[in-house]
Amino acid sequence: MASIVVVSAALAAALLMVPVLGGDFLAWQIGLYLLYGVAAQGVGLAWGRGGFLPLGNAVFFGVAAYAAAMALRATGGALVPNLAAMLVIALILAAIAWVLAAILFHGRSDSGPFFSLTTLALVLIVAQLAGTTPAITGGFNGYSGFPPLAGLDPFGNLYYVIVVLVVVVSAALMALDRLPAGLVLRALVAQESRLQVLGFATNRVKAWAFAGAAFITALAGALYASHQGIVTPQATGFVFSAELVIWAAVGGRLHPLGPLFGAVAIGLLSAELRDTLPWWEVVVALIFLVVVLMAPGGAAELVARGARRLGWRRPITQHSPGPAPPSRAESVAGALQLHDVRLGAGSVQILRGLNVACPQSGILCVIGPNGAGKTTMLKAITGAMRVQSGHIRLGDQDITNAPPHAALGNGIGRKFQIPTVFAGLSVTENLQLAALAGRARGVDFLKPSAFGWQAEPLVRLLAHPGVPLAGLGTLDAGALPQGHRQMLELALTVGAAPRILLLDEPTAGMSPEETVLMVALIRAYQARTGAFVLVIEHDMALVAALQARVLVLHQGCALAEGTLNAVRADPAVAAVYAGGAK
Amino acid sequence: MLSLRDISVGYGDTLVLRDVSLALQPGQVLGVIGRNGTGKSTLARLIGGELRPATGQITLEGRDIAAMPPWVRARAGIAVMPQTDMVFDALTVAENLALMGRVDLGEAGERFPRITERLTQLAGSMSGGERKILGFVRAMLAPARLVVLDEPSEGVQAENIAHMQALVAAARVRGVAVVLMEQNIAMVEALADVVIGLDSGGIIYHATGDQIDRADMLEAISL
Repeated sequence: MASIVVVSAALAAALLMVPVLGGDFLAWQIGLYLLYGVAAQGVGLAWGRGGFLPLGNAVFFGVAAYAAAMALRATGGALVPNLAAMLVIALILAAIAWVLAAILFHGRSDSGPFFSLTTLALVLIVAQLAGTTPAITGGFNGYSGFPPLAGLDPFGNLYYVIVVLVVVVSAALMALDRLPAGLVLRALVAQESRLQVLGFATNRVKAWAFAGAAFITALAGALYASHQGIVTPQATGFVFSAELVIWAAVGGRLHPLGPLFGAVAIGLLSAELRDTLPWWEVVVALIFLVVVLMAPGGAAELVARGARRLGWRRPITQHSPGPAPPSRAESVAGALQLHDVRLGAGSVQILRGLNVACPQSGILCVIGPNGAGKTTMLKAITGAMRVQSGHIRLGDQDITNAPPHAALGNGIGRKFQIPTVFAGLSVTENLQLAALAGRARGVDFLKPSAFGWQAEPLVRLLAHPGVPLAGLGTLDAGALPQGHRQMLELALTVGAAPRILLLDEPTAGMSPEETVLMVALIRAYQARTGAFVLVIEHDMALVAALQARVLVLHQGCALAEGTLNAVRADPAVAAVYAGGAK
Repeated sequence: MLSLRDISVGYGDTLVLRDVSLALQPGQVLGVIGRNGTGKSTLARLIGGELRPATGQITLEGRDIAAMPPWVRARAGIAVMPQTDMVFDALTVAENLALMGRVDLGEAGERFPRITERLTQLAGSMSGGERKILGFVRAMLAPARLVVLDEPSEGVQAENIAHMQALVAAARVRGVAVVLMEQNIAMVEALADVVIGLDSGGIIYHATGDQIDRADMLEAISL
């Protein structure tokens, strides 16, 4: 956190020098670009951190500007009531943004164009309304005739209020990167469906990011009214929304300060070129093209590249280990049962009346020919695919079609068929997420100490002889070979100590040696926790090594169940399935 | 036909393979074994053109292909089945196959009737094992002289692995060279004319013909 203080102090010092060195007019001009920059930082938060691109953030800026202007007129510009009003306006707009995002992202695990297009439609509607309601907004001529904030001259000391806003917002965004909440956002962008299985309702995670974006954009918009003395429909318009995106892209959406830099740099450049070049927009557009093509991460990426070349490395923060709170997943009881479950994809029926009664504890191996419905069964249990008819019960509780993020709360952990880890995050960060899963709630996401949580299942897993993860700390999880990924995904799955562990081909792509280790880890976890572990496997040697009951699936139905030898001897099984060994 | 001479390759500053040399003749199957992280998939990406060598020479029938992009290599007769993302999920099974310019599946269709039954289904809605089989069939049907298969048997039931082996054996008879990256030692033993074991960035095991021995291979991958 010390680096945040240093950077914030440097930013404040640089901005405070502007009126001293450049005079009041330049400070006024840069004050405007800084307000644009804060709004662009909102886009950076949603796009760079949350992974979803808002094309209508001018709505929050413009509506806040109109509302603040109306409050200024109503109160005659009194300072304290108006600052309070600005805060309330920003909070209301943030709440609206939260609800909008939570609804739009509900039931999905992508951030696709639908969100961008919806926000685009929103900005077009709001700009149209602003322009066609002269009685309220002043129409196309704009809303004016309101006093500035009392005692804050737009060409004088209002600049310092803007500087405070810029520094506070920048420091908060830099801090976010170093908090568990920031880690969750990065994990969201890396692998949303995996994050859901770790118990995170990702639509709400995105809703918080969008609400944060709306909040800071609205604060900038509210000050803009006082700074400009007039609010026109352009402040809520599509062109301004697009400019926010461009500033964020040029400055660097992935860095907290990137969008701020982009807005100020392009603002100053445009002001300079506007007076000297007739085709200045083309020049600005070319600069935009060159920057985004050379460095998709914007100017911030170019700076980071240069710093790395000079030997700079981001210091690794060591978090002192501390006890982890109990997990929601470990206290759940009840056996898993599937009753006549039917499920299809398009015209193909995958599960055709599947009945399975799992024990409360023990290991069950599920085998069956390719396409028998094994993975689909796990998807049905965890809500990744919708069951068309039938029921899935956990003890007395009906969990049919519960959303994917609810599975962990129901005590169910799932490892995917294709080992799925958070690429772009280090192995350590993946393990930190595993420790947060099912344990962190509310303010825990704002506590750096949560990074040091020692979740018991993870401590045991990492200490097990032969597990390679402990030494891989700073490596990008996306660069791990298949076997190490399998191991890391197992860690992600057991971190919350689920009572029901669903493992889909946990040894695929592993060497015989690693396979032996995986079997030992699965058996040790089961023996220690008394959990129910379901393992999908093709390798009969491994099924034998797990010494478990075997369920055979065929064409979406349970064909046989019993010991490995019993199902092998079953003529119905022999007819459809020939097992083998690695 | 394929020759690697003193190849070093990796990701950014990190080299995964160092000074690796090998040669493959038409109709030969090269088995590549090794623990996880020893560079099997890196070798597949190198041959397919996804990765460029840091140093060394890679030639296809005497022609240097180090700078040749993946799509040009495909036209030059190299087909690759990657370990993951081996099919286009958003296309149907038939469209996946049509991209290879083939509609008639021939022997592959007889051995994998599930593929012919599911021609109109989206590849993404198939099971993991079925997608592997489709990816394998795609690679084997490509008009290629060299096929690279990165862990084709992963998640595939034993019966279908046997069918895969039969199709590779048939391709070998046609003079197609095959590079087979596998954890499945039995499959490598059944098919390979030459086996190399990778570890610590280099070749730690090399055997041809009758020298190929299961116990030696297991030892090589469990060091």
